[in-house]
Amino acid sequence: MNPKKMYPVYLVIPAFLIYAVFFIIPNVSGLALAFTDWNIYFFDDIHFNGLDNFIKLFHEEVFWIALKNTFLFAVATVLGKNLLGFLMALLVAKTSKFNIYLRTVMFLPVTISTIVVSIIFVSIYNPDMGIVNQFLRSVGLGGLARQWLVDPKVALWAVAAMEIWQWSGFNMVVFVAGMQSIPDDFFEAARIDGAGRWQTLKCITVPLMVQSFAVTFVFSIISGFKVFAQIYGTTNGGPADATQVMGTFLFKSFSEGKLGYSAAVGVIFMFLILAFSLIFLIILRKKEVEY
Amino acid sequence: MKRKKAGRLFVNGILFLLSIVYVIPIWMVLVNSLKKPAEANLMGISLPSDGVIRLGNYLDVIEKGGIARAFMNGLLEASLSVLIIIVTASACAFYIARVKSKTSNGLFYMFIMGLVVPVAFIPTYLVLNVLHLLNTYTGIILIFTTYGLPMAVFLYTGFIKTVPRELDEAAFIDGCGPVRLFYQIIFPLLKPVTMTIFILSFIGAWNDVMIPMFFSNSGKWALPLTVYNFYGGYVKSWNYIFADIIITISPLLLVYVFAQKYVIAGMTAGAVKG
Repeated sequence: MNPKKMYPVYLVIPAFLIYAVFFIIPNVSGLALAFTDWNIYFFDDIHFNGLDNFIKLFHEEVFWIALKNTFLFAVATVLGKNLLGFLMALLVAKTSKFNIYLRTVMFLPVTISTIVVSIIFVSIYNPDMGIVNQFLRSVGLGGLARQWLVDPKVALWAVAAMEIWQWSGFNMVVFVAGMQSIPDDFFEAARIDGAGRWQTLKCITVPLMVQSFAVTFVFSIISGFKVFAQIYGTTNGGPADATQVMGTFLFKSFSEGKLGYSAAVGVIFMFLILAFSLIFLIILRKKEVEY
Repeated sequence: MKRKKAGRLFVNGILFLLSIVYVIPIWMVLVNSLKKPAEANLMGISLPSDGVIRLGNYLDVIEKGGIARAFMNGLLEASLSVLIIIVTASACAFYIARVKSKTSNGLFYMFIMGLVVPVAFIPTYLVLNVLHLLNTYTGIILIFTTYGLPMAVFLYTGFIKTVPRELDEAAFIDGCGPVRLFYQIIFPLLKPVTMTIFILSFIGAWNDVMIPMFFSNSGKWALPLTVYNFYGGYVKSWNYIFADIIITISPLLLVYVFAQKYVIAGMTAGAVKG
């Protein structure tokens, strides 16, 4: 049997070709474009300009705001989605009609396009009529009512809350699957040994779910850093660039025609996401438990 | 025992309230999509105060918002990219799963990179420009395909490893060529994971707004961006915005309600240990 004849390389070629042309070439050439003065007005006239883009970038205040906001948004949503998702998973893991209803409802926002969720939340966060402030006023907490998407102090957090609303159900489902894959004997044994609920959770459930945590954390780190439509659809980086993130900052310089410059933003963006997901994966690899 | 029961009841109460937090935004959109403009702009959660259900809002939105075209755009872009993903990624994964070599390993990791690295918009724009694919359906479909491939290759490779090699050998001895061997004998066995990839890639492409926004003009945009036909101006008619939102989200919501098991499995496939 000749494996070269049975599994010829040409099986790979269609997928590889598409991927090479539209992923590998752009990403590699992105590195080169980041060192050019390419822009939309002199489209066919590209010159290398060394580190100019990066120097300009590091001197632009909005870039640092965007970097900080991206980071804050990622941290807040990673924690929010996973904590809430895990808590909900603990409460709805047992199969019952009520729990299945809960799981269905909590997963539902995942199927909605982010841009649509953003516009729904523009109305929900409306300072006068939106249901958030209406609710707060009706229960006598009117003092907590805010101009959610206008006040620079809360706008970013309001958008993070929206993202958590949309995706916590996803993490919940992953956690439920993780919990259900733990053999029942383990819990049985813990119960016989007299372990309380908290101990069981700490010593059995959590350590055996490292795999699930690894995946949900990496997923949410990646999507947290890639935040774009959430901000674009709600505050569009405003008020006065207070909620600008890397994605919207990149789009802004792209729409202004500064192509080389935004390629530089793209390169920094890519390394940032790569670095964080790799670091995280390495940390978790060490904690993995085999069973 | 009584205390335990009361505790459970309390927890269920809290959970029920939490579930309302998930439903109420959609309810709010639905009721306001049926109201007259002045009342819809109040964004309340009650039914229309005059008791009139204004389905006319939907007819207006469908007419003014270019809904039919956007729906067809989305269907075309999502289904063709999914088709290309399934046909090419499965064959590619078959090679990666069966051949043990540096090339095969390298290919696998190259595709995995695509799961993490964000879309490099500017250079991709340049590549599309050079190939005269900017602002074309072909361009959008190929970019959707590109960003769907990594997950598909990943899931197919894992699944194909569980299909016994003896099948390939038996078919090969019977004189089956590699292409026929794969698509006629092996591919039908991959149905569950194909279903998963279909759902995952279709929803991804259907809901994406960035790729069409960067690489084409509004004529090729799908449903999620039609909301901007009503949202952009200074005077907002929320009844139209909300009706547009309901139209945009209902195809997937219906699929979700009727095929929940598959949708959840599809969306979480990469995250749940198989």
